[in-house]
Amino acid sequence: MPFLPKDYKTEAKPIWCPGCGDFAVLAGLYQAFAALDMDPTKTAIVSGIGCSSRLPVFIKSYGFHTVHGRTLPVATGIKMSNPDLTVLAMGGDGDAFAIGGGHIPHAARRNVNITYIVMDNFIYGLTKGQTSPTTGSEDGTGHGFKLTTTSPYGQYENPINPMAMLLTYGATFVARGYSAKPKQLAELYKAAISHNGFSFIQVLSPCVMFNRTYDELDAAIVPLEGNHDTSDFNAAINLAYDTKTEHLGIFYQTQRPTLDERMGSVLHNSNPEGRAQDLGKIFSQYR
Amino acid sequence: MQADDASVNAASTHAPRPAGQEIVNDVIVRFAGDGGEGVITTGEFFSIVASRWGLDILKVTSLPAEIKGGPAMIQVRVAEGKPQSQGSYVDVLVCFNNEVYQMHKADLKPNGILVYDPDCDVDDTNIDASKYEVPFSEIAKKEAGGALAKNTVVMGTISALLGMPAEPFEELIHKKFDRKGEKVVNNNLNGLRLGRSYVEERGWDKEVPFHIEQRPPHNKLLMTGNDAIALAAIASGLKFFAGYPITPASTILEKLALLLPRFGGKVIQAEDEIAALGMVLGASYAGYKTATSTSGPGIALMSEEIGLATMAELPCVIFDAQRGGPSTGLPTKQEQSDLNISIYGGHGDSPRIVVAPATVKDCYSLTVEAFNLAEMCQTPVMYLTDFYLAQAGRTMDEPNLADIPVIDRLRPTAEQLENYKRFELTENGVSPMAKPYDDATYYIATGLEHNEIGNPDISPAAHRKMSDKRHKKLDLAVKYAAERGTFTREHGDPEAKIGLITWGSTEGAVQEAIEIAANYGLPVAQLHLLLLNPLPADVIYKFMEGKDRVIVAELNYTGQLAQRLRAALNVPVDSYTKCTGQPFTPHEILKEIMVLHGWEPDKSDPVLSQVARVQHQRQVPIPTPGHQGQNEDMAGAVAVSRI
Repeated sequence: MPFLPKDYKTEAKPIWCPGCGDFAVLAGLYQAFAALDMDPTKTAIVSGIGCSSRLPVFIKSYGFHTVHGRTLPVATGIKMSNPDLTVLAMGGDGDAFAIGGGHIPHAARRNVNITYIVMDNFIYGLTKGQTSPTTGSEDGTGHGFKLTTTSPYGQYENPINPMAMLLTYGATFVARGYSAKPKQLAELYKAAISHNGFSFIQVLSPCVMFNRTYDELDAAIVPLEGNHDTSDFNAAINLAYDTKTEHLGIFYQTQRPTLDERMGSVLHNSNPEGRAQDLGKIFSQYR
Repeated sequence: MQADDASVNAASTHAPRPAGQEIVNDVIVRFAGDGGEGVITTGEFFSIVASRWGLDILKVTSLPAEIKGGPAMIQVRVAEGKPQSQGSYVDVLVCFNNEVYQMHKADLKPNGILVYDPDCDVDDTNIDASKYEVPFSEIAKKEAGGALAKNTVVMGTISALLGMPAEPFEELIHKKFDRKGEKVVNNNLNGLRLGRSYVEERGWDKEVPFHIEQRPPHNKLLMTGNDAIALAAIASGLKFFAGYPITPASTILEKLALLLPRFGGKVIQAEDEIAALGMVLGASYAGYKTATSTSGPGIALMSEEIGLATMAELPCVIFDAQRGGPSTGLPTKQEQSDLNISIYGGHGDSPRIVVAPATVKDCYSLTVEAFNLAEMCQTPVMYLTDFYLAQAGRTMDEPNLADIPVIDRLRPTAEQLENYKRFELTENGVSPMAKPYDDATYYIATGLEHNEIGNPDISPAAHRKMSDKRHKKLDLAVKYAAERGTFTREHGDPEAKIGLITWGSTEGAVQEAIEIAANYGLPVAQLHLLLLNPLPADVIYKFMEGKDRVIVAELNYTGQLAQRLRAALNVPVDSYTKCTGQPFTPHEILKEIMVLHGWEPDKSDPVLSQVARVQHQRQVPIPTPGHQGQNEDMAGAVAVSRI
């Protein structure tokens, strides 16, 4: 019996506020999981801390709700110790780009075969409305400008450009979706999970309580045109730097051996059975 | 200075060996020079030859923080039977230049041997030693093809002085340099020969009392603590390792990067220590035996994730090669000051197991046990090795893999999988842990407080019951330690009224001091702990029985274990600490033992006269307290706190 989207629902009720973009992110995952016939016993979802990081609790699969910012190292450890598992990592913009920002370049350059979904709402929601690294600045850079509880006099810091960041770090799949476009989201998830390598999706997922950006985003989004060449890195960079427009779709996709493929070629010559014998040989070098 | 003048000058400073004073296979030789001068290679060769000759070795190195240049030192203790510590003083001091001579001269034993390059300013009437001047640099430059052969000249000199033949050294030169071409090999062989003939021509080998004689081969391994840890981790079934380079732990990461893939495992050099432990927790969640290695600064960074490992009940081993702290501290010096962070580091009530090896042999066996404890209790194990053990080389028997059981984590049965509860409340606190992919179920591991299923639950009952569960599991560690009997050791006189408690690599120096004190008629008992959290309370209470005074000797400023014992077990222990970046010497401990037996320095009293009498009667060749040369400010830089 193939899985239906509803089969992935757990008994736990999402804790999100009514209207939160994360509901659509989750619904899209149910769709994609069913379409790919994902086996919950062979899938692991890793998250950090924040509203969006609660997501693994609401989807049937192995899940690890870790600590703030450490999603990618944990997901890397799971994938590298058992490459047969399908591994997804997820979290919000604070978890990804503030406290966890140091891990992104390394997961990307290693090309760990996992999918990283960042639900970007331009604000800290769980802690009730502080500035995030993607909150738009008062000079008009980025989206979701707002004076927050921690920036009462002005949003003086420029926001991060997540798409440009991931492209330059060497991610092999970089895409953007929007929670108000759930059909496209499910398609992006399917493509990302099927991609062999480190895949990244920025999902614009507005917060209804502390930074309601639906209207602004509705006006800014433009689906990528059919003639966009996803193998063209420079075109992808140009899209990423077009910060007035939120282009939706797969910006860039390329193929490069994954970390487990590269390590596998070393392990190929290993002899896991001959433990005692091999250790004996190594001991003899110390005489 | 001309070579001939040197010999005349040197000959006038030492006396021929008195008849019957030969000391066989019991010598401490220290080679000191600049990093890059080949000092370490010299000491390594000397160690390998002595080990192959059936002798026991304990070698320690001290490297400069710089890559090249700066003072480097290797000290080799050769003995028949086990050398317990690096000793208190040096019998043979070999100095490549004046800078290192000035640094090390105070450690030379009275009646010791000084071998030095004329660069050294040895015009020092305070040094009571036989002096042998050998123009190492000049010989190397003029006759052995360049300064690079200096260390083989030294090797020749020392091997000849100590009565060792050239052949085993020649063999090692071939092994090390053959691939570098004939010229390099010949220069080094030449250096060795010239060093030897310089000694033999002057008849010095007939004067030096220290001799090394070949014994039947013992077939032992000469290994460092870090290498022993790496190999034991493989033997334990390690499958995933992530680490970040840091002195003095890096060689564990390096050794595993080289070897683990050959055994089907993987190693990743992470972007920082937080990532390293994060990856390890991922691998543990995925069902594999896993570990990381670091030093104090890395432990500080990992603290939050150690709490996560406790909360999500993930087995893992965290190797901490301690160095001097706080902050960057003393990266290449010895200290035992990470006990507090290992037991308490992090927020909340976060129980974890803490163990510490004392010897290179422990670095092997206790590593296997650390994985056993982690898997058995599904909790992180902090493994406190230290700078000294990390780099100290010691002879040990090849471990028998069958000697220590290898324990794996509890997995759910088919029946348990039907209605799987990852954090099921059980009698001993341990619940079956499902392996993703292999076990047909799924669950959430979370750093949030949770219910038996694993879902977040911050109710009063959940927090109370799960806190019980996490703490209760540690009782298993105490029980296992008692069954194995290898997590505590006792030395000395069990009836003694004075007791010393030790942990980590200080065991040997204290044990050696206790043996010397026994020769003086000063009885002391020693309890050494390898399990530091949870504490083996029964063993400690029993040790305290009938003692007048019990002192915890440790290398930190505040007496971290002493404080722990007082707080956790309410036992009246005193603290004897040293915080200089150096290990204890047996001599320092001996002084403290004499004080405990009532000796008052600067006063004529019964203890001192007893010591003097015993020394006279038994000819015990041990250093007397307060001997010449020793910098008393350093040796005595010991904070003693008494309650």
